[in-house]
Amino acid sequence: MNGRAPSSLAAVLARVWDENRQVMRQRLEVLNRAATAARSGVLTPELRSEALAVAHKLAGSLGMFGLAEASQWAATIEAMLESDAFDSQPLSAAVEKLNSALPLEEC
Amino acid sequence: VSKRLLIIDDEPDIRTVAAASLQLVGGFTVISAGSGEEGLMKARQEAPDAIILDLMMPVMSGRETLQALKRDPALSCIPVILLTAKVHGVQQDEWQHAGAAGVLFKPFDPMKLAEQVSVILGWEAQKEAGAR
Repeated sequence: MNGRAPSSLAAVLARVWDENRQVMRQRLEVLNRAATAARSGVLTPELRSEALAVAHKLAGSLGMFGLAEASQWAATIEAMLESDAFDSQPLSAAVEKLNSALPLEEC
Repeated sequence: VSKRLLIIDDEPDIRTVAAASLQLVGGFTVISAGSGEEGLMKARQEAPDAIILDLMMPVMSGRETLQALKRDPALSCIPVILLTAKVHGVQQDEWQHAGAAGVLFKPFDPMKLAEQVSVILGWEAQKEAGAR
């Protein structure tokens, strides 16, 4: 994922990314569910809290795989979910951007 | 003899990448722990040269772990670098007051992590002085 890394480190990064691909998918799914629920006005405190934790983890980890844009979108989503002035439309847009920025398809 | 670092973070992928980065790029020996409790135990067992500590962990947070490290006379002199997400950026006076040596932000660049750790701990200067 990170083209500048020496081959041994690049191999570790690629292996960890592959091992965590399913976890990343599950985390993204939580955010998709939260965005859908927010648009429908039925986002529960439990799902919001789960989505907040997931966004935090994605924000902190995606960048080390060279996915700076995805990491930034996750951080944006985290900040939105933490905010008292919470709005479903920007959240949905940010989750959509994160979906686009994450290369989760198997080759 | 390479410096020995203890990484305490509840996220396995971050522990793995940080350990690989510090070992392969920095030449450090790395010990890992997945919780504050495990981190305290390994700090006592392994007496590392420094500790990298995630702030946001379940059960025993990074702040609680740091307090426990600083309360223990056998561990209080080990420098601790806090690891935190940018969105939860901590103020310099806050971490200095808590007794931390510095702060690293997630997401970190695996190619730069070892250098950042060395700079915070003053190990680069030691290495240069030793080479002269």
